[in-house]
Amino acid sequence: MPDHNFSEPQRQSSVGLILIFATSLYHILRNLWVVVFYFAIGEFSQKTLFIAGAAVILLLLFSLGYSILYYLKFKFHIDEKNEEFVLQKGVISTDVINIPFQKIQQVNFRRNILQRVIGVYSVVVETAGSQDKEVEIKALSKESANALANRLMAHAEEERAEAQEDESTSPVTEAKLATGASPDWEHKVSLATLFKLGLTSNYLRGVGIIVAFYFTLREQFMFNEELSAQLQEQEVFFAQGKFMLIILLLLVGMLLTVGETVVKYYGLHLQKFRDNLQVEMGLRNNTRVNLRASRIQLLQVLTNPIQKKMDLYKLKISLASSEDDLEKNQIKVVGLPPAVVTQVKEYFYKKQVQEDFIILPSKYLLLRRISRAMIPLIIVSLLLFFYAQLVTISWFLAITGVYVVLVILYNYLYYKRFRLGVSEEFLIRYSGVWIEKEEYLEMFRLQAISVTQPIWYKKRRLINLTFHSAGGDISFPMVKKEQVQPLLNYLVYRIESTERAWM
Amino acid sequence: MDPLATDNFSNFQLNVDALPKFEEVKLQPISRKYLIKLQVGTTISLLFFVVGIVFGFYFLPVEFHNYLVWAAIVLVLLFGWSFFNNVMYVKRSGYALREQDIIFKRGFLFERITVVPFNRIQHVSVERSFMDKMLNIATIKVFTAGGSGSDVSIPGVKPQTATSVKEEISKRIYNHA
Repeated sequence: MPDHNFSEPQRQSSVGLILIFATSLYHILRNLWVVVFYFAIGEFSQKTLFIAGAAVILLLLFSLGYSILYYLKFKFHIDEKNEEFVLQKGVISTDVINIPFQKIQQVNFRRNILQRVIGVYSVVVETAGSQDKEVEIKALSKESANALANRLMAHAEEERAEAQEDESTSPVTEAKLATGASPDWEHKVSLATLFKLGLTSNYLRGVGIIVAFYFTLREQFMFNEELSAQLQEQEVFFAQGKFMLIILLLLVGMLLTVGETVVKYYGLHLQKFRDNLQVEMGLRNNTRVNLRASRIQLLQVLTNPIQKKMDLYKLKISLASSEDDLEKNQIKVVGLPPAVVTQVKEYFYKKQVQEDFIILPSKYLLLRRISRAMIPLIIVSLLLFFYAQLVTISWFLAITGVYVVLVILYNYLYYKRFRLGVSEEFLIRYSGVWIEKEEYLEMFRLQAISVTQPIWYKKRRLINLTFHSAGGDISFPMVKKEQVQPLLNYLVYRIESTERAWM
Repeated sequence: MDPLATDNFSNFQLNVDALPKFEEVKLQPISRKYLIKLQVGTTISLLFFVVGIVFGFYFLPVEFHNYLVWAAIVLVLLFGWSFFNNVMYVKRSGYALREQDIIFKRGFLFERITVVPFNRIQHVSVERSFMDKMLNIATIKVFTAGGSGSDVSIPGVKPQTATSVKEEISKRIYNHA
């Protein structure tokens, strides 16, 4: 029987067996589909079929036996005395994983379709260590999962509170089993919002997929048919249907993007409890993440002009990650109105974030970006110079003119937007031309600071800055050395003078 | 002062004249022996190309020799630069330990200074490759939680120095933990 103290080693919910069996079947099928296909298509003698059938039954039995053993051997408990979470598993060799409470980063829920059908939850314990980054218990009933998650998080938080007594993380223990309570505030993102979001997202990616698909198809057919005839037909077809084709492409790309958005963020639900922020979402894979303010390393707020009008902001929340793959440890929340963004920021940072002064990049940044964008133009012009008969001069000048104007406009907007705000506690980087991006980094979360200077910057006394955090780097190129050197020394001082735990 | 009343009022100013300045710290140079290691490495890769070109001269028909001469010229320029760059790299690189952090500067064409505070270091190690043992030098590696960008590895340090630096850092990390 499940005891919700988890002090004794215990198994997963018994329906979990179905899940394990189904998963192992899925893996077998995935590895052997070629064989299955082979048998489905070809013709074989009775004997071969009989042997194949026997093999399949044997495999199924073996897989079932393995699943049962796996289920029986998979045990977990909370060891209060040694302050750790213990997990034993393995059929042939037994694997014991001990996770000390202070190593626990996050406890999240995850559900795929099968798990939802049989009504179980996956509890994922994320650790700060480099190996065994996460431990997953795949089948727990809702109550067990909730109880386990709450206990683990409470323990982890206790550890943290002990580790830093000077901080005012005071009544953590009281807030323990707060999940049953009603949230301080919550926000649901409706399906309509997700549709709007999908429609206003960048669907070039969707278009890209189709174009790639089309070209592979065309290549296939090109080699089969007579080349010249095929090519000419293609040309004619293309000339007639060019416009329609482009519109069709965009439409399908749009549909793909909307679909992707809906599947990924379906039922997005934010709930702010006393000491955490719960984020639930997903159609195919439903996840629930408990975010704690103390663990947020980096926060990004993104929007584009259209979405801004429609009050659709996106948050990317970075947690500490031991790998360089930072995207993976980012939680993306979309379709939020500014009020909710403010609420989230208030929870994370306790007070309003407002910069006291701004650092701007040197005007050489603009110059460099424009001149770099001219390189392809120069190469193309050189090529045209050698094959001059291809394009008429007037056409060439027109295209060049448009290109130059666009490049200058784009980079000017880029440069105008690009700046670094500094407040007493924060670094805020603003960037982006179409997608406007704000990145918030609390100073005491900084891990290190790098300053780079290519040799040709020396005369102009310019440097590039990189601020390293556990949730990713923020870089800021081409600033005047004299202007930022005091800031850098101040940042180093800020990191070194605090004992506040950054994670 | 009532913190609530001052919540919207901010008059934060960077008053940093009194703060220590990391750009003015005198750096420990890294060992000249590390230059030998770099040059040996560059020479080995050069040898591969030279062997390739020599083979070309022997086995390719004469009309290709023209290209080979060009390749040789490019090779000489490239590796000449590479050797020079190694010299400058070692000359320009250096490190310093302060009371609260470690500073490492490296590079010639792209100079890069990284400051890692001790209270953000995850662990330190000293590594010695075969060449390092022959040359009697070591590499200090400092790991942080900020990803590979903020990790620091200081080559060409005397083994005794490296060990004592490592111990010193470990002691200071321990004080913070």
